[in-house]
Amino acid sequence: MIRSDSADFDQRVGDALRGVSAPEAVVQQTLAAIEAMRPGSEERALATVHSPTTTALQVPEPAAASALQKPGAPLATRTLRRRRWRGALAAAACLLVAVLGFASYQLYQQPAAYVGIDVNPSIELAVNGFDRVVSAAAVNEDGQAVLDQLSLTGKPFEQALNDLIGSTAMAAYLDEDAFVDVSITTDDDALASQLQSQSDAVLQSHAHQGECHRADAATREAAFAAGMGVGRYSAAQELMDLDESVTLDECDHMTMGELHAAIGELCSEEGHHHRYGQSSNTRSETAGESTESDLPPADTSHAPEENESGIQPDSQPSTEDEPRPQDRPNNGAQRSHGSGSHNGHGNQHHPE
Amino acid sequence: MRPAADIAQAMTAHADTVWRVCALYFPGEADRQDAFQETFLRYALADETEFADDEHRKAWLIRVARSRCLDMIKKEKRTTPLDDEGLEAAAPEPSHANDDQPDSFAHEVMDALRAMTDPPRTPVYLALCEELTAPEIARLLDAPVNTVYSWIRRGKQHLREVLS
Repeated sequence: MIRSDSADFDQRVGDALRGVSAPEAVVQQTLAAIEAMRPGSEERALATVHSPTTTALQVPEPAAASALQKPGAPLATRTLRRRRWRGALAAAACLLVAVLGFASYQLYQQPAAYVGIDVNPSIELAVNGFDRVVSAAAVNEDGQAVLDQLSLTGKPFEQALNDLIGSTAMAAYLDEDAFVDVSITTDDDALASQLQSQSDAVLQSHAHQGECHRADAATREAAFAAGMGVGRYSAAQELMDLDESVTLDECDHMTMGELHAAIGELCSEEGHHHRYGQSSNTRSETAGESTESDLPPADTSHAPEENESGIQPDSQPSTEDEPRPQDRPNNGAQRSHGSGSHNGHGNQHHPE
Repeated sequence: MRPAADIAQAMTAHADTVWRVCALYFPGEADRQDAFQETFLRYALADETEFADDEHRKAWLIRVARSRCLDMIKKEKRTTPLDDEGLEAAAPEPSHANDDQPDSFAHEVMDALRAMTDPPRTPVYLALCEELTAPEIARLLDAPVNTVYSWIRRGKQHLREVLS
């Protein structure tokens, strides 16, 4: 077995160091000094190593001057013990309070739902279980510019949304053709409907075209991976289904209004078939039910008949039978839901 | 206060280690002795502490010695300005006079260690001289194990460069 040079070196160093030892004189002096401080040990002050002695504390005698010695050493020791113990208890109590406080804070801050708002600026509000906005994030630069001018966190969701839509920062984007897309991603159905009704109320009061719908987590992640807001991403997916020549990048530069207009035009069906990331309701749906439970009630202020978009669906005939002028090859293949009024759910389901 | 026998026993087993740890910080005899004495005094006064085994006791002593040395150094730094001359005169010459069986290579090694920053000074010492494992050192110094490994590696390399 050949030892490496470095192992040898290490051995040498170790051996050399181990050769350094404490001088005997120092050892003795230390032992003596310690004994000199032992309570009640005046008579033993000069002794060095002893036979075992009892530690039973004797009546304290005036001992050698030492800062470490206390009259009534036993008492001092006991008190010290008690003091330490109490101190530890107090510290533990403080720690508990701190931990609980922190935990509640964490719980409070925990987002229960993500609400994406796309017009042209794309932002996302994280809402906690108590309907408060706990954080606001911008998905694109326009969104960042808007957020820089507003403070939305800590507010109840409805108020925050209201402030946002009504703000001067957003005013520039909210012209007549503007479309506000609100996408709610959450597992909590109750919270979702609450947020939806709040969103609808706000949109209605501001008389903008808009729509509020639910999205699923997978879509949201895909959207972020693409650097887009959820609503925009969903609409983009749909538009790209309808028109293969459109790229995701192009969609990124369109406003929601433009996207919806484009989709509407390309839509052959009776209704405007937006797909909003809902798992069910694929083309197999034939009942023509217009909404799922989680779609918002009709936005009467915007689209006349469509729940889901502000685009006039009327231009389309009610069945698939008529080939449409601007026919997209996709359509026939994809659309299989037939009946009457809009279905509300899109032909193809993308990232589910 | 711990019983005299206990203290004596601890001294027999670990005086050299404690002495060496103090030597890592103080080339000067007086300071070293101060730190050494303080360390065992603290041991003597640690009535409440129960040691699981001798390794535990040794680790405790090493920690206390080190902390005592660092405190002394901090205090010196704070009070030096006027005392510069006196201290400098006392300090720089590593006094090997009292070390039993001075070995010049050992002196070199100690000098080299003292010249290192700490860490990796202490981890390297503990690894090479006390032959503690990295996990043991990590526990003693309250540092992550991986960090300890890298300290040891760096320290050993430095020593090799300086001493060969």
